[in-house]
Amino acid sequence: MSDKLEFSNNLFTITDLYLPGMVSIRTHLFDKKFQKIIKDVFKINVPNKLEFTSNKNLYLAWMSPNELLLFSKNLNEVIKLITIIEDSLKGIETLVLDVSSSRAVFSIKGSLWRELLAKGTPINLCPNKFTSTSFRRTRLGQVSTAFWMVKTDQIYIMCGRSFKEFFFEWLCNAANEKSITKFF
Amino acid sequence: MLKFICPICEIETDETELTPGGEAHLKRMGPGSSDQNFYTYLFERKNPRGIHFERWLHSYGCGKWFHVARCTKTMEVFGTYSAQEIKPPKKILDAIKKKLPNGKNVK
Ligand SMILES: [Zn+2]
Repeated sequence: MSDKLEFSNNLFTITDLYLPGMVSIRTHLFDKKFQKIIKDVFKINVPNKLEFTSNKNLYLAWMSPNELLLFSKNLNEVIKLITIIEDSLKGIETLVLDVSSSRAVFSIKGSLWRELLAKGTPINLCPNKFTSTSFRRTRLGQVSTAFWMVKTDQIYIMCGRSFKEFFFEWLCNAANEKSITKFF
Repeated sequence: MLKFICPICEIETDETELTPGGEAHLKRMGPGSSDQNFYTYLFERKNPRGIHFERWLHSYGCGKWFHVARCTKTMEVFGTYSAQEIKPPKKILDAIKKKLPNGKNVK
């Protein structure tokens, strides 16, 4: 395992959410029975397309029409949840997999995060297009990534584990104070 | 820059988020087909200057395939539709027909 990466300047603080927990749940997302179980067990609604839902520090995100991602900063919490998910989803065709070690997640704090991300992603980051419930998988630079807002001035952003160092450097570079525009 | 609406995400995605998959609506020539048919299926692709149906993968997004109808000459996009369609839906054909001189039919 690599070191915990950290960066900060006057505008941004980029922190490595060292060893976060992630579970991939693949199933038919519109199944009423599945949606009810998720709601009963986690007190979270199954998110709509391109969105996420949350309960305290637990996030449930839409990855594709047949995949959800359950995310928590706390790896142990997620590992405990896997058994609960598997038990409660018995009888429904699902694939539940711990994918915690396959991705790295960073927190970017700073009210100008839209300006930073807009340097590398083709998606529309206008506040009325990328909202507080949006979850987008897209690219940043050449890296495939996904990000969402946890507070108005903070986002979580993930990338493949093997790109972690490269991606972190990319973010630090893009966070250069002198290069930040004011579009949004 | 090509921009398509991914029919699954229902959101505009651009070329840089997608992976091209080549000609659409190919008929697979599997075991039992003649060598010539298999050869054609494997290697020969249409690459017209004009209206073309293609497969694209939303690789940086939802990770799903979909179909696109576009013109390779003008770069105009006539529409996108589900990867499960075995031929272009009427809606797409109508959109193309509107653009053709004398309402000629698309083959
Ligand atoms: Zn998509």
